[in-house]
Amino acid sequence: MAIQLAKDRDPLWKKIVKSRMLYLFILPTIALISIFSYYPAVSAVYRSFFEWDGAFRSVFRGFGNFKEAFTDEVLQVSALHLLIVVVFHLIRELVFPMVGALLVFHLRHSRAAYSFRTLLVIPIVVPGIVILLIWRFIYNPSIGLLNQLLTVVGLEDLGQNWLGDPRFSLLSVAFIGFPWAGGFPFLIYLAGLQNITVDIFDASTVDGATGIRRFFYVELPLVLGQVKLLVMLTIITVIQSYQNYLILTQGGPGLSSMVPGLHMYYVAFRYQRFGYGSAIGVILFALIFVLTVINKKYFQGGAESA
Amino acid sequence: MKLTPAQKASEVGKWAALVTLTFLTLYPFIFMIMSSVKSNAQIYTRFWGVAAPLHWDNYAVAWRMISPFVFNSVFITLVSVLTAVFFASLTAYVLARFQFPGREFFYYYIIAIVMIPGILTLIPQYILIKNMGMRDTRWALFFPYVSYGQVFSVFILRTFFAGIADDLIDAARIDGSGHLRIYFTIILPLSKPIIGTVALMRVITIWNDFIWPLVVMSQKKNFTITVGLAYLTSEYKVEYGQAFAGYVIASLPLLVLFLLTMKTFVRGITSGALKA
Repeated sequence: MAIQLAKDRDPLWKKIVKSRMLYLFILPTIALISIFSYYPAVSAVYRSFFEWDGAFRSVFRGFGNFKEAFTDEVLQVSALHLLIVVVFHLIRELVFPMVGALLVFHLRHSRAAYSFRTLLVIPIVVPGIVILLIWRFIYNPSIGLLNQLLTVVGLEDLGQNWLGDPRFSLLSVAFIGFPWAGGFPFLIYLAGLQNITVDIFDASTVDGATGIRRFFYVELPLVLGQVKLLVMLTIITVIQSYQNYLILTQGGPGLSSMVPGLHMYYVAFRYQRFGYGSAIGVILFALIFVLTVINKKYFQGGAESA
Repeated sequence: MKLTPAQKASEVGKWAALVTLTFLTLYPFIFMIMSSVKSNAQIYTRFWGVAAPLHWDNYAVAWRMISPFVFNSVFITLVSVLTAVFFASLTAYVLARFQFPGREFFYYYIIAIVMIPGILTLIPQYILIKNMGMRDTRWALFFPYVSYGQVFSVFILRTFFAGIADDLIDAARIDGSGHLRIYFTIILPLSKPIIGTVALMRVITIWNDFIWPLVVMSQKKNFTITVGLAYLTSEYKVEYGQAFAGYVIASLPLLVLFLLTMKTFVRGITSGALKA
Protein backbone atom coordinates (compact mmCIF):
# COMPACT_ATOMS: atom_id res chain seq x y z
CA MET A 1 0.00 0.00 0.00
CA ALA A 2 1.06 3.52 -0.59
CA ILE A 3 2.45 5.20 2.49
CA GLN A 4 0.94 8.48 3.56
CA LEU A 5 3.03 10.84 5.64
CA ALA A 6 0.03 13.01 6.51
CA LYS A 7 -3.21 11.93 8.14
CA ASP A 8 -6.37 11.63 6.07
CA ARG A 9 -8.17 14.28 8.05
CA ASP A 10 -5.34 16.81 7.75
CA PRO A 11 -6.20 19.87 5.68
CA LEU A 12 -4.50 20.11 2.32
CA TRP A 13 -1.83 22.58 3.40
CA LYS A 14 -0.88 20.36 6.28
CA LYS A 15 -0.66 17.35 4.01
CA ILE A 16 1.65 19.27 1.74
CA VAL A 17 3.83 20.43 4.60
CA LYS A 18 4.07 16.96 6.03
CA SER A 19 4.97 15.52 2.63
CA ARG A 20 7.72 18.07 2.00
CA MET A 21 10.44 15.41 1.99
CA LEU A 22 8.71 13.72 -0.93
CA TYR A 23 8.61 16.90 -2.98
CA LEU A 24 12.30 17.32 -2.32
CA PHE A 25 12.99 13.82 -3.64
CA ILE A 26 11.17 14.37 -6.91
CA LEU A 27 12.45 17.92 -7.32
CA PRO A 28 15.51 17.08 -9.47
CA THR A 29 13.41 15.17 -12.01
CA ILE A 30 10.68 17.79 -12.14
CA ALA A 31 13.13 20.67 -12.41
CA LEU A 32 15.18 19.01 -15.14
CA ILE A 33 12.28 18.11 -17.38
CA SER A 34 10.71 21.52 -16.84
CA ILE A 35 13.85 23.33 -17.92
CA PHE A 36 15.14 21.01 -20.62
CA SER A 37 11.93 19.60 -22.13
CA TYR A 38 8.87 21.71 -21.34
CA TYR A 39 10.51 25.08 -21.63
CA PRO A 40 12.10 24.34 -25.03
CA ALA A 41 8.80 22.90 -26.30
CA VAL A 42 6.87 26.02 -25.31
CA SER A 43 9.67 28.23 -26.57
CA ALA A 44 9.62 26.45 -29.95
CA VAL A 45 5.94 27.19 -30.43
CA TYR A 46 6.38 30.80 -29.28
CA ARG A 47 9.44 31.47 -31.44
CA SER A 48 7.78 29.96 -34.49
CA PHE A 49 5.87 33.25 -34.78
CA PHE A 50 9.06 35.31 -34.92
CA GLU A 51 11.89 36.06 -37.24
CA TRP A 52 14.67 35.28 -34.81
CA ASP A 53 18.45 35.16 -35.15
CA GLY A 54 18.84 33.19 -31.95
CA ALA A 55 20.03 36.21 -29.99
CA PHE A 56 18.66 39.73 -29.78
CA ARG A 57 16.91 40.34 -33.06
CA SER A 58 13.42 38.92 -32.76
CA VAL A 59 10.60 40.34 -34.88
CA PHE A 60 7.01 39.17 -34.66
CA ARG A 61 5.80 37.71 -37.97
CA GLY A 62 2.41 36.32 -37.05
CA PHE A 63 1.81 33.28 -39.20
CA GLY A 64 4.50 34.46 -41.60
CA ASN A 65 6.81 31.53 -40.92
CA PHE A 66 4.02 29.03 -41.50
CA LYS A 67 2.94 30.73 -44.70
CA GLU A 68 6.53 30.65 -45.84
CA ALA A 69 6.78 26.97 -44.97
CA PHE A 70 3.83 26.08 -47.17
CA THR A 71 5.35 27.84 -50.17
CA ASP A 72 8.94 26.80 -49.40
CA GLU A 73 10.04 24.77 -52.42
CA VAL A 74 12.77 23.02 -50.50
CA LEU A 75 10.25 21.91 -47.92
CA GLN A 76 7.89 20.65 -50.63
CA VAL A 77 10.62 18.56 -52.23
CA SER A 78 11.64 17.33 -48.77
CA ALA A 79 8.07 16.36 -47.93
CA LEU A 80 7.87 14.24 -51.06
CA HIS A 81 11.16 12.59 -50.17
CA LEU A 82 9.89 11.98 -46.66
CA LEU A 83 6.85 10.20 -48.03
CA ILE A 84 9.00 7.97 -50.22
CA VAL A 85 11.37 7.19 -47.37
CA VAL A 86 8.52 6.45 -44.95
CA VAL A 87 7.02 3.93 -47.37
CA PHE A 88 10.42 2.38 -47.98
CA HIS A 89 11.13 2.11 -44.26
CA LEU A 90 7.72 0.67 -43.50
CA ILE A 91 8.40 -2.16 -45.91
CA ARG A 92 11.89 -2.77 -44.61
CA GLU A 93 10.95 -2.60 -40.92
CA LEU A 94 7.81 -4.70 -41.23
CA VAL A 95 8.73 -7.45 -43.66
CA PHE A 96 12.40 -8.30 -43.25
CA PRO A 97 12.65 -8.47 -39.45
CA MET A 98 9.47 -10.55 -39.46
CA VAL A 99 11.16 -13.08 -41.72
CA GLY A 100 14.18 -13.11 -39.41
CA ALA A 101 12.03 -13.52 -36.31
CA LEU A 102 9.91 -16.32 -37.82
CA LEU A 103 13.00 -18.24 -38.89
CA VAL A 104 14.62 -17.97 -35.48
CA PHE A 105 11.37 -18.75 -33.70
CA HIS A 106 10.65 -21.91 -35.67
CA LEU A 107 14.16 -23.28 -35.57
CA ARG A 108 14.01 -26.60 -33.69
CA HIS A 109 17.55 -26.36 -32.42
CA SER A 110 17.03 -23.96 -29.53
CA ARG A 111 20.70 -23.22 -28.87
CA ALA A 112 21.24 -22.39 -32.50
CA ALA A 113 18.18 -20.14 -32.35
CA TYR A 114 19.72 -18.35 -29.39
CA SER A 115 22.99 -17.85 -31.25
CA PHE A 116 21.26 -16.49 -34.33
CA ARG A 117 19.25 -14.14 -32.16
CA THR A 118 22.42 -12.84 -30.52
CA LEU A 119 24.13 -12.28 -33.85
CA LEU A 120 21.12 -10.53 -35.35
CA VAL A 121 20.98 -8.13 -32.41
CA ILE A 122 24.55 -6.92 -32.92
CA PRO A 123 23.57 -4.09 -35.32
CA ILE A 124 21.81 -2.38 -32.41
CA VAL A 125 24.98 -2.06 -30.39
CA VAL A 126 27.29 -0.92 -33.17
CA PRO A 127 27.15 2.89 -33.09
CA GLY A 128 24.91 4.23 -35.84
CA ILE A 129 27.69 6.51 -36.99
CA VAL A 130 30.02 3.54 -37.53
CA ILE A 131 27.38 1.81 -39.63
CA LEU A 132 26.96 4.98 -41.67
CA LEU A 133 30.66 5.40 -42.24
CA ILE A 134 31.06 1.76 -43.26
CA TRP A 135 28.20 2.22 -45.74
CA ARG A 136 29.82 5.35 -47.06
CA PHE A 137 32.74 3.13 -47.96
CA ILE A 138 30.41 0.50 -49.40
CA TYR A 139 28.96 3.17 -51.70
CA ASN A 140 32.34 4.68 -52.58
CA PRO A 141 32.35 4.96 -56.39
CA SER A 142 35.98 3.97 -56.94
CA ILE A 143 36.81 1.26 -54.39
CA GLY A 144 33.49 0.80 -52.63
CA LEU A 145 32.31 -2.66 -51.79
CA LEU A 146 29.13 -2.45 -53.85
CA ASN A 147 30.80 -1.49 -57.11
CA GLN A 148 33.57 -4.02 -56.44
CA LEU A 149 30.96 -6.70 -55.95
CA LEU A 150 29.26 -5.75 -59.21
CA THR A 151 32.63 -6.02 -60.95
CA VAL A 152 33.26 -9.46 -59.49
CA VAL A 153 29.96 -10.77 -60.83
CA GLY A 154 30.56 -9.13 -64.18
CA LEU A 155 28.00 -6.36 -63.85
CA GLU A 156 30.46 -3.48 -63.55
CA ASP A 157 28.28 -1.50 -65.97
CA LEU A 158 25.71 -1.22 -63.19
CA GLY A 159 28.24 0.43 -60.90
CA GLN A 160 27.19 3.89 -59.82
CA ASN A 161 28.25 6.86 -57.81
CA TRP A 162 25.56 5.82 -55.36
CA LEU A 163 25.62 8.81 -53.03
CA GLY A 164 26.79 11.35 -55.57
CA ASP A 165 24.17 10.75 -58.22
CA PRO A 166 20.87 12.58 -57.73
CA ARG A 167 19.00 9.58 -59.15
CA PHE A 168 20.23 7.29 -56.38
CA SER A 169 21.23 9.41 -53.39
CA LEU A 170 17.91 9.33 -51.51
CA LEU A 171 17.29 5.61 -51.77
CA SER A 172 20.94 4.73 -51.27
CA VAL A 173 20.78 6.32 -47.84
CA ALA A 174 17.44 4.65 -47.09
CA PHE A 175 18.89 1.31 -48.20
CA ILE A 176 21.61 1.34 -45.51
CA GLY A 177 21.55 -1.66 -43.21
CA PHE A 178 20.48 -4.24 -45.78
CA PRO A 179 19.16 -6.97 -45.28
CA TRP A 180 17.36 -5.34 -42.30
CA ALA A 181 16.47 -8.69 -40.77
CA GLY A 182 17.97 -8.04 -37.35
CA GLY A 183 17.99 -5.27 -34.84
CA PHE A 184 15.20 -3.72 -32.86
CA PRO A 185 12.07 -4.72 -34.86
CA PHE A 186 13.39 -8.27 -35.02
CA LEU A 187 13.49 -8.45 -31.22
CA ILE A 188 10.01 -6.99 -30.96
CA TYR A 189 8.58 -9.56 -33.34
CA LEU A 190 10.44 -12.39 -31.66
CA ALA A 191 9.09 -11.33 -28.25
CA GLY A 192 5.60 -11.25 -29.78
CA LEU A 193 5.92 -14.72 -31.25
CA GLN A 194 7.28 -16.10 -27.99
CA ASN A 195 4.20 -14.79 -26.21
CA ILE A 196 1.93 -17.01 -28.28
CA THR A 197 1.05 -20.01 -26.17
CA VAL A 198 2.01 -23.52 -27.16
CA ASP A 199 -1.66 -24.57 -27.10
CA ILE A 200 -2.47 -22.28 -29.97
CA PHE A 201 0.30 -23.74 -32.06
CA ASP A 202 -0.72 -27.28 -31.17
CA ALA A 203 -4.34 -26.55 -32.04
CA SER A 204 -3.37 -24.97 -35.34
CA THR A 205 -1.15 -27.93 -36.21
CA VAL A 206 -4.05 -30.30 -35.57
CA ASP A 207 -6.13 -28.12 -37.87
CA GLY A 208 -3.45 -28.53 -40.49
CA ALA A 209 -2.20 -24.98 -40.48
CA THR A 210 1.51 -24.96 -41.28
CA GLY A 211 3.91 -22.71 -43.11
CA ILE A 212 2.31 -19.83 -44.95
CA ARG A 213 -1.21 -20.64 -43.73
CA ARG A 214 -0.06 -20.75 -40.13
CA PHE A 215 1.59 -17.38 -40.61
CA PHE A 216 -1.46 -15.62 -41.99
CA TYR A 217 -4.11 -17.28 -39.83
CA VAL A 218 -2.29 -17.75 -36.55
CA GLU A 219 0.92 -15.81 -36.15
CA LEU A 220 0.22 -12.56 -37.93
CA PRO A 221 -3.08 -11.89 -36.12
CA LEU A 222 -1.38 -12.59 -32.79
CA VAL A 223 1.55 -10.25 -33.38
CA LEU A 224 -0.63 -7.56 -34.90
CA GLY A 225 -0.02 -5.46 -31.79
CA GLN A 226 3.69 -5.51 -32.50
CA VAL A 227 3.10 -4.71 -36.15
CA LYS A 228 1.01 -1.66 -35.25
CA LEU A 229 3.59 -0.54 -32.72
CA LEU A 230 6.36 -0.78 -35.30
CA VAL A 231 4.33 1.08 -37.93
CA MET A 232 3.92 3.94 -35.49
CA LEU A 233 7.49 3.93 -34.23
CA THR A 234 8.86 3.73 -37.76
CA ILE A 235 6.85 6.69 -38.99
CA ILE A 236 7.68 8.82 -35.97
CA THR A 237 11.36 7.93 -36.15
CA VAL A 238 11.66 8.52 -39.88
CA ILE A 239 9.99 11.93 -39.64
CA GLN A 240 12.60 12.93 -37.10
CA SER A 241 15.75 11.37 -38.51
CA TYR A 242 18.04 13.27 -40.80
CA GLN A 243 21.41 12.33 -39.33
CA ASN A 244 22.13 9.84 -42.13
CA TYR A 245 21.47 12.42 -44.80
CA LEU A 246 23.49 15.06 -42.97
CA ILE A 247 26.52 12.81 -42.78
CA LEU A 248 26.36 11.03 -46.13
CA THR A 249 24.93 13.45 -48.68
CA GLN A 250 24.24 16.75 -46.91
CA GLY A 251 20.87 16.52 -48.65
CA GLY A 252 22.41 16.54 -52.10
CA PRO A 253 23.47 16.45 -54.77
CA GLY A 254 21.24 19.46 -55.29
CA LEU A 255 18.16 18.71 -53.22
CA SER A 256 17.99 15.09 -54.29
CA SER A 257 18.21 13.69 -50.76
CA MET A 258 16.86 16.61 -48.73
CA VAL A 259 14.39 15.70 -45.99
CA PRO A 260 12.33 18.05 -43.77
CA GLY A 261 14.38 17.48 -40.62
CA LEU A 262 17.60 18.27 -42.42
CA HIS A 263 16.07 21.38 -43.95
CA MET A 264 15.11 22.51 -40.45
CA TYR A 265 18.64 21.86 -39.26
CA TYR A 266 20.13 23.94 -42.08
CA VAL A 267 17.63 26.77 -41.71
CA ALA A 268 18.57 27.08 -38.05
CA PHE A 269 22.23 26.26 -37.82
CA ARG A 270 23.46 27.33 -41.23
CA TYR A 271 21.26 30.34 -41.98
CA GLN A 272 20.66 31.35 -38.34
CA ARG A 273 16.89 31.60 -38.92
CA PHE A 274 15.87 30.09 -35.62
CA GLY A 275 12.28 31.33 -35.82
CA TYR A 276 11.61 29.74 -39.18
CA GLY A 277 13.46 26.62 -38.07
CA SER A 278 11.21 26.43 -35.01
CA ALA A 279 8.16 26.73 -37.26
CA ILE A 280 9.30 23.74 -39.31
CA GLY A 281 9.86 21.90 -36.03
CA VAL A 282 6.33 22.76 -34.92
CA ILE A 283 4.88 21.50 -38.22
CA LEU A 284 6.74 18.20 -37.87
CA PHE A 285 5.60 17.96 -34.27
CA ALA A 286 2.00 18.56 -35.31
CA LEU A 287 2.32 15.82 -37.90
CA ILE A 288 3.68 13.38 -35.32
CA PHE A 289 1.03 14.42 -32.81
CA VAL A 290 -1.85 13.89 -35.23
CA LEU A 291 -0.51 10.49 -36.25
CA THR A 292 -0.15 9.47 -32.62
CA VAL A 293 -3.69 10.54 -31.80
CA ILE A 294 -5.13 8.77 -34.84
CA ASN A 295 -3.20 5.69 -33.85
CA LYS A 296 -4.44 5.81 -30.26
CA LYS A 297 -7.99 6.40 -31.32
CA TYR A 298 -8.47 4.05 -34.23
CA PHE A 299 -5.76 1.43 -34.22
CA GLN A 300 -5.32 0.65 -30.57
CA GLY A 301 -6.33 -2.64 -29.09
CA GLY A 302 -4.10 -5.64 -29.21
CA ALA A 303 -1.14 -3.44 -28.40
CA GLU A 304 -2.48 -2.54 -24.97
CA SER A 305 0.96 -2.23 -23.54
CA ALA A 306 2.20 0.02 -26.30
CA MET B 1 12.02 -37.13 -31.87
CA LYS B 2 12.41 -38.36 -35.43
CA LEU B 3 11.86 -35.81 -38.15
CA THR B 4 10.02 -36.70 -41.31
CA PRO B 5 11.89 -35.98 -44.56
CA ALA B 6 9.66 -32.96 -45.17
CA GLN B 7 10.42 -31.57 -41.72
CA LYS B 8 14.10 -32.20 -42.29
CA ALA B 9 14.01 -30.30 -45.55
CA SER B 10 12.24 -27.41 -43.89
CA GLU B 11 14.87 -27.34 -41.13
CA VAL B 12 17.65 -27.24 -43.71
CA GLY B 13 15.85 -24.44 -45.52
CA LYS B 14 15.53 -22.40 -42.33
CA TRP B 15 19.18 -22.89 -41.52
CA ALA B 16 20.24 -21.82 -44.99
CA ALA B 17 18.04 -18.74 -44.87
CA LEU B 18 19.25 -17.76 -41.40
CA VAL B 19 22.90 -18.26 -42.24
CA THR B 20 22.49 -16.09 -45.32
CA LEU B 21 20.62 -13.35 -43.47
CA THR B 22 23.07 -13.35 -40.59
CA PHE B 23 26.04 -13.30 -42.90
CA LEU B 24 24.68 -10.36 -44.90
CA THR B 25 23.78 -8.53 -41.69
CA LEU B 26 27.23 -8.95 -40.22
CA TYR B 27 29.31 -8.75 -43.38
CA PRO B 28 29.88 -4.98 -43.19
CA PHE B 29 31.34 -5.49 -39.72
CA ILE B 30 33.47 -8.43 -40.85
CA PHE B 31 34.67 -6.31 -43.73
CA MET B 32 35.43 -3.47 -41.31
CA ILE B 33 37.56 -5.74 -39.14
CA MET B 34 39.42 -7.26 -42.09
CA SER B 35 40.09 -3.87 -43.63
CA SER B 36 41.23 -2.42 -40.33
CA VAL B 37 44.52 -4.30 -40.60
CA LYS B 38 45.25 -3.34 -44.20
CA SER B 39 47.13 -0.47 -45.80
CA ASN B 40 45.51 1.51 -48.60
CA ALA B 41 47.63 -0.39 -51.13
CA GLN B 42 46.41 -3.69 -49.71
CA ILE B 43 42.80 -2.52 -49.86
CA TYR B 44 43.23 -1.71 -53.54
CA THR B 45 45.02 -4.92 -54.49
CA ARG B 46 43.53 -7.51 -52.11
CA PHE B 47 40.05 -6.11 -51.67
CA TRP B 48 38.19 -9.19 -50.45
CA GLY B 49 40.81 -10.95 -48.39
CA VAL B 50 43.30 -10.14 -45.71
CA ALA B 51 46.87 -9.73 -46.91
CA ALA B 52 50.14 -10.11 -45.02
CA PRO B 53 51.68 -8.14 -43.46
CA LEU B 54 48.88 -7.27 -41.06
CA HIS B 55 48.93 -3.61 -40.18
CA TRP B 56 48.15 -3.72 -36.48
CA ASP B 57 49.83 -0.34 -36.31
CA ASN B 58 46.57 1.04 -37.80
CA TYR B 59 45.08 0.56 -34.35
CA ALA B 60 47.88 2.49 -32.67
CA VAL B 61 47.45 5.38 -35.09
CA ALA B 62 43.65 5.31 -34.80
CA TRP B 63 43.83 5.19 -31.03
CA ARG B 64 46.13 8.22 -30.97
CA MET B 65 43.59 10.13 -33.04
CA ILE B 66 40.37 9.14 -31.30
CA SER B 67 41.35 8.43 -27.69
CA PRO B 68 40.37 11.95 -26.50
CA PHE B 69 36.92 11.46 -28.06
CA VAL B 70 36.59 8.02 -26.49
CA PHE B 71 37.49 9.49 -23.13
CA ASN B 72 34.91 12.28 -23.53
CA SER B 73 32.21 9.77 -24.42
CA VAL B 74 33.04 7.38 -21.60
CA PHE B 75 33.05 10.22 -19.10
CA ILE B 76 29.80 11.88 -20.16
CA THR B 77 28.03 8.54 -20.57
CA LEU B 78 29.00 7.28 -17.12
CA VAL B 79 28.29 10.49 -15.26
CA SER B 80 25.00 11.30 -16.91
CA VAL B 81 23.63 7.76 -16.80
CA LEU B 82 24.45 7.37 -13.11
CA THR B 83 22.90 10.73 -12.28
CA ALA B 84 19.85 10.12 -14.45
CA VAL B 85 19.16 6.72 -12.95
CA PHE B 86 19.66 7.99 -9.41
CA PHE B 87 17.18 10.86 -9.84
CA ALA B 88 14.73 8.72 -11.77
CA SER B 89 14.74 5.92 -9.22
CA LEU B 90 14.20 8.35 -6.36
CA THR B 91 11.24 9.88 -8.17
CA ALA B 92 9.89 6.47 -9.13
CA TYR B 93 10.17 5.35 -5.50
CA VAL B 94 8.18 8.34 -4.25
CA LEU B 95 5.52 7.98 -6.94
CA ALA B 96 5.22 4.24 -6.43
CA ARG B 97 5.14 3.98 -2.66
CA PHE B 98 3.72 7.21 -1.24
CA GLN B 99 0.40 8.99 -1.22
CA PHE B 100 0.64 12.78 -1.24
CA PRO B 101 -1.10 15.78 -2.78
CA GLY B 102 -0.20 16.14 -6.45
CA ARG B 103 1.05 12.60 -6.92
CA GLU B 104 -1.08 11.97 -10.01
CA PHE B 105 -0.26 15.37 -11.42
CA PHE B 106 3.48 14.88 -11.15
CA TYR B 107 3.26 11.42 -12.65
CA TYR B 108 1.43 12.65 -15.73
CA TYR B 109 3.62 15.72 -15.88
CA ILE B 110 6.59 13.38 -16.34
CA ILE B 111 4.92 10.86 -18.63
CA ALA B 112 3.47 13.51 -20.95
CA ILE B 113 7.01 14.25 -22.14
CA VAL B 114 6.77 11.28 -24.50
CA MET B 115 4.54 13.49 -26.63
CA ILE B 116 7.33 16.03 -27.13
CA PRO B 117 9.59 14.89 -29.95
CA GLY B 118 13.25 15.84 -30.06
CA ILE B 119 12.83 17.56 -33.38
CA LEU B 120 10.60 20.18 -31.76
CA THR B 121 12.95 21.02 -28.93
CA LEU B 122 16.32 20.89 -30.69
CA ILE B 123 16.52 24.55 -31.65
CA PRO B 124 15.26 26.19 -28.42
CA GLN B 125 17.32 23.76 -26.41
CA TYR B 126 20.42 24.82 -28.28
CA ILE B 127 19.62 28.49 -27.65
CA LEU B 128 18.96 27.72 -23.99
CA ILE B 129 22.33 26.04 -23.62
CA LYS B 130 23.98 28.90 -25.46
CA ASN B 131 22.33 31.51 -23.25
CA MET B 132 23.33 29.61 -20.14
CA GLY B 133 26.91 29.83 -21.35
CA MET B 134 27.25 26.06 -21.48
CA ARG B 135 28.21 25.66 -25.11
CA ASP B 136 31.46 23.74 -25.49
CA THR B 137 31.29 22.53 -21.91
CA ARG B 138 30.36 19.10 -20.61
CA TRP B 139 27.27 20.59 -18.95
CA ALA B 140 25.75 21.07 -22.41
CA LEU B 141 25.58 17.30 -22.71
CA PHE B 142 25.10 16.42 -19.07
CA PHE B 143 21.86 18.28 -18.32
CA PRO B 144 19.88 17.27 -21.41
CA TYR B 145 21.08 13.67 -21.15
CA VAL B 146 20.04 13.43 -17.51
CA SER B 147 16.75 15.10 -18.30
CA TYR B 148 15.90 12.96 -21.32
CA GLY B 149 16.53 9.80 -19.34
CA GLN B 150 13.81 10.57 -16.82
CA VAL B 151 10.60 9.66 -18.63
CA PHE B 152 11.42 6.13 -19.68
CA SER B 153 13.34 5.35 -16.47
CA VAL B 154 10.66 6.70 -14.12
CA PHE B 155 7.99 4.81 -16.01
CA ILE B 156 9.72 1.44 -15.92
CA LEU B 157 11.04 1.78 -12.38
CA ARG B 158 7.78 3.00 -10.89
CA THR B 159 5.98 -0.09 -12.17
CA PHE B 160 8.65 -2.31 -10.70
CA PHE B 161 8.84 -0.53 -7.33
CA ALA B 162 5.08 -0.68 -6.95
CA GLY B 163 5.33 -4.45 -7.19
CA ILE B 164 7.77 -4.89 -4.32
CA ALA B 165 6.12 -6.72 -1.42
CA ASP B 166 4.81 -4.48 1.38
CA ASP B 167 6.06 -6.83 4.13
CA LEU B 168 9.66 -6.06 3.38
CA ILE B 169 9.12 -2.35 3.68
CA ASP B 170 6.84 -2.64 6.70
CA ALA B 171 9.44 -4.73 8.49
CA ALA B 172 12.06 -2.09 7.83
CA ARG B 173 9.75 0.64 9.07
CA ILE B 174 9.10 -1.23 12.28
CA ASP B 175 12.87 -1.41 12.69
CA GLY B 176 12.75 2.37 12.54
CA SER B 177 14.38 2.87 9.14
CA GLY B 178 13.73 6.24 7.51
CA HIS B 179 12.36 6.50 4.01
CA LEU B 180 15.65 7.36 2.40
CA ARG B 181 17.25 4.47 4.22
CA ILE B 182 14.55 2.09 3.01
CA TYR B 183 15.22 3.28 -0.50
CA PHE B 184 18.93 2.58 -0.23
CA THR B 185 18.84 -0.66 1.78
CA ILE B 186 15.74 -2.36 0.39
CA ILE B 187 14.44 -0.85 -2.81
CA LEU B 188 17.74 -0.37 -4.64
CA PRO B 189 19.27 -3.78 -3.87
CA LEU B 190 16.05 -5.53 -4.89
CA SER B 191 15.88 -3.62 -8.15
CA LYS B 192 19.40 -4.08 -9.43
CA PRO B 193 18.40 -5.99 -12.58
CA ILE B 194 15.72 -3.54 -13.67
CA ILE B 195 17.95 -0.56 -12.85
CA GLY B 196 20.68 -2.20 -14.88
CA THR B 197 18.27 -2.55 -17.79
CA VAL B 198 17.26 1.08 -17.64
CA ALA B 199 20.87 2.23 -17.33
CA LEU B 200 21.93 0.10 -20.27
CA MET B 201 19.30 1.63 -22.52
CA ARG B 202 20.56 5.08 -21.61
CA VAL B 203 24.17 4.08 -22.23
CA ILE B 204 23.35 2.99 -25.77
CA THR B 205 21.40 6.15 -26.53
CA ILE B 206 24.03 8.50 -25.19
CA TRP B 207 27.03 6.71 -26.64
CA ASN B 208 25.42 6.75 -30.08
CA ASP B 209 24.05 10.29 -29.98
CA PHE B 210 25.33 12.45 -32.79
CA ILE B 211 23.26 15.54 -33.57
CA TRP B 212 23.20 17.05 -30.10
CA PRO B 213 26.97 16.94 -29.42
CA LEU B 214 27.52 18.11 -32.98
CA VAL B 215 25.37 21.16 -32.33
CA VAL B 216 26.69 22.18 -28.92
CA MET B 217 30.36 21.33 -29.30
CA SER B 218 32.50 23.33 -31.69
CA GLN B 219 35.96 22.73 -30.32
CA LYS B 220 37.62 19.50 -31.32
CA LYS B 221 38.77 18.73 -27.79
CA ASN B 222 35.14 18.45 -26.67
CA PHE B 223 33.93 16.08 -29.39
CA THR B 224 32.33 12.81 -28.40
CA ILE B 225 33.30 9.65 -30.24
CA THR B 226 30.50 9.90 -32.80
CA VAL B 227 31.24 13.49 -33.74
CA GLY B 228 34.96 12.80 -33.63
CA LEU B 229 34.72 9.90 -36.07
CA ALA B 230 32.63 11.90 -38.52
CA TYR B 231 35.03 14.81 -38.21
CA LEU B 232 38.18 12.76 -38.72
CA THR B 233 36.92 10.99 -41.79
CA SER B 234 35.75 14.20 -43.39
CA GLU B 235 38.68 16.47 -42.56
CA TYR B 236 41.65 14.27 -43.24
CA LYS B 237 42.49 12.02 -46.10
CA VAL B 238 43.04 9.16 -43.69
CA GLU B 239 44.23 5.72 -44.58
CA TYR B 240 41.08 3.63 -44.91
CA GLY B 241 42.61 0.96 -42.69
CA GLN B 242 43.17 3.46 -39.91
CA ALA B 243 39.64 4.76 -40.24
CA PHE B 244 38.27 1.21 -39.98
CA ALA B 245 40.46 0.57 -36.95
CA GLY B 246 38.90 3.67 -35.41
CA TYR B 247 35.40 2.34 -36.12
CA VAL B 248 36.29 -0.94 -34.43
CA ILE B 249 37.57 0.88 -31.35
CA ALA B 250 34.44 3.03 -31.20
CA SER B 251 32.23 -0.06 -31.39
CA LEU B 252 34.07 -2.11 -28.80
CA PRO B 253 32.78 -0.64 -25.52
CA LEU B 254 29.12 -1.29 -26.30
CA LEU B 255 29.84 -4.62 -27.93
CA VAL B 256 31.65 -5.83 -24.82
CA LEU B 257 28.88 -4.48 -22.61
CA PHE B 258 26.36 -6.28 -24.79
CA LEU B 259 28.15 -9.60 -24.59
CA LEU B 260 28.42 -9.30 -20.81
CA THR B 261 24.80 -8.36 -20.23
CA MET B 262 22.97 -10.13 -23.03
CA LYS B 263 19.83 -11.07 -21.09
CA THR B 264 19.34 -7.70 -19.44
CA PHE B 265 19.96 -6.12 -22.76
CA VAL B 266 17.37 -8.00 -24.77
CA ARG B 267 14.78 -7.60 -22.02
CA GLY B 268 15.49 -3.88 -21.88
CA ILE B 269 14.95 -3.36 -25.56
CA THR B 270 11.72 -5.29 -25.70
CA SER B 271 10.28 -3.91 -22.45
CA GLY B 272 11.22 -0.42 -23.51
CA ALA B 273 9.33 -0.78 -26.72
CA LEU B 274 6.28 -2.44 -25.29
CA LYS B 275 5.82 -0.27 -22.26
CA ALA B 276 7.10 3.20 -23.01
